[in-house]
Amino acid sequence: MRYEVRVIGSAGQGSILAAVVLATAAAEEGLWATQTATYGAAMRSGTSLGDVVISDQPIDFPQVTELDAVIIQSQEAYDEMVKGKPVRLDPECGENTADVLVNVKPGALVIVDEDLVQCDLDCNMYRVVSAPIARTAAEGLGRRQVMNIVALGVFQVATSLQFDGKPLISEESFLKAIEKSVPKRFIDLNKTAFQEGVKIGKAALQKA
Amino acid sequence: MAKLELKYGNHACAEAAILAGCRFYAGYPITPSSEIAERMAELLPRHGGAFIQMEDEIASMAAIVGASFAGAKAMTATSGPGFSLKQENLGYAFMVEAPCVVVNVQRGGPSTGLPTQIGQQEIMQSLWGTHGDKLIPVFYPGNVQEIMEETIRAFNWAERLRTPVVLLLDEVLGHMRETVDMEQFTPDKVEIWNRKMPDVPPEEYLPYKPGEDDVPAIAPYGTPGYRGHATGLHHDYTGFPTTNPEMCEELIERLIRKVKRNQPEMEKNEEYKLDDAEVAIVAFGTTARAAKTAVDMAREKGIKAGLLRVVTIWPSPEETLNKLAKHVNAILVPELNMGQYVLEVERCAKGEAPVYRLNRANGKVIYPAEILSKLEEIVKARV
Repeated sequence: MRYEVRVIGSAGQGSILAAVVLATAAAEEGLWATQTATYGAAMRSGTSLGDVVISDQPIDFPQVTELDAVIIQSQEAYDEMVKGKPVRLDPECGENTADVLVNVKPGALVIVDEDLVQCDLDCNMYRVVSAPIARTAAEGLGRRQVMNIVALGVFQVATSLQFDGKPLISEESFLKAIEKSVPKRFIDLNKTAFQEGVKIGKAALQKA
Repeated sequence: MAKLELKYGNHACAEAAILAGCRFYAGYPITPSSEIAERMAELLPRHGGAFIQMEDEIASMAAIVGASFAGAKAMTATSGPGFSLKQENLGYAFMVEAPCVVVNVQRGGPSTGLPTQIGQQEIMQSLWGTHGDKLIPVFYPGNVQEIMEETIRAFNWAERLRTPVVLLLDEVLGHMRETVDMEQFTPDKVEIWNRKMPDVPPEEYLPYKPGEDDVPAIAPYGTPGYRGHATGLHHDYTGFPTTNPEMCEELIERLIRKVKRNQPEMEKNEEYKLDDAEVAIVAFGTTARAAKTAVDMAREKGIKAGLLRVVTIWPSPEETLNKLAKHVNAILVPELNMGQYVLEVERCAKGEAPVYRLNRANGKVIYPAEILSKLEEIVKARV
């Protein structure tokens, strides 16, 4: 089993932290993982991304080439990846090579923010899950910054679509991963964010 | 039972150094190696060690040689431009036989090059960068777990042979988080070697008189009664300069021999599907990981490919490479430079098999699919 995920969003949306938490959760689950990211500061503008490869055995090639899931956090990120082509993923790749190097598998999970991303992907080709991620973070939790972790909650639930009704990684592993990955004073907030994400994820799956 | 933990490559290097007994770090931060310094700054004070940020890379290298002579296991880490600056004192460490570990997290070069992107352009420099004849062990791990293993192994060989050891990483390895099975790194399971100490009374002590293993037992500076002198000049057993040709010849031959004679024990490779391979890939570091995936892709297409992943880059696995060349129809050497280790592979192959190249030095990794196309091209050309 090799499972590849990309978290992509605008600067400051915590895409890389989400990837780190996801990879840590995989390790908690007893799975092997690699996590890579574009290196450099994207705190104020531009897009940034974090990639994770998960496997039940040690991983050879550590970067993503065939995505099983994408979490898209902003319109800018969506446009960069999807506009005009079925997929265009690595922002650093030239137009000519992008599709050759990184592809989104048919049947892949595409998780988007319901309010922030105008998604017109072919629902027969991808499993699109749209949920009010940023709104839940901002209004439900009072901190828009935790939308990345809310998104992970949605992702956790949604992977059950790909693994016969059972999520790839348990909620417990994610909660342990959050404890290990965020500063102490934000642990509770992030745990709640994750659990809220699970809730809206379940609602979104029912709707779909 | 595996005890999996997600670790950042550069942090793994620092943590393994502590496990190996490193208690002194001097460095000057440079991307993509800075996180090694950061982690050492955090860890060393907690373990009774010392961390110092020096004014530049030249001074950092000098500082670890000094710490080593005071008896500490010492390390520095850097990247391309800093590695160039360290060369003079790296040669000094080799000449005065100061055990130490120099980590180079490779980025794109030459010069300041591509600071945040991957390169494998110091394969030759790690051995030949400093002037004069020498043989320095150079290890290049391929994943985060191995970063820990190789860091410990680097310290062990440095101590055992009283030599600097270069540990090569690359930007992707250093900046990657990956699961590590921590089971093998519990302190009771880690094998640690320490440098030997003089077994003669002070009046018979000659710091540079080698033992049968070609390694001298030099007392740490400050050991009462054991006085020493170190110089980058050719020296005799006392450590003082000499121009006596016999003495100089003995010294330079011994310095190289003490590493060379341990090559068989130091050799470390991973062999993957080589048994029935018709075309072999020789690779290291991040590129070897793409190569391993490419081997599987090639096999699915009916191409009998295999991989020799070299971990001990220098001294090179001469015999193994020669045997490999006799065993296969062709060898491919993909590397993130304009063709460096391929020269060594060609030398060792001695014409037994044609050696092909796949080179790139633009900051991007080589993807499995690209290695596969090259393999297909080679197979086509050979039919």
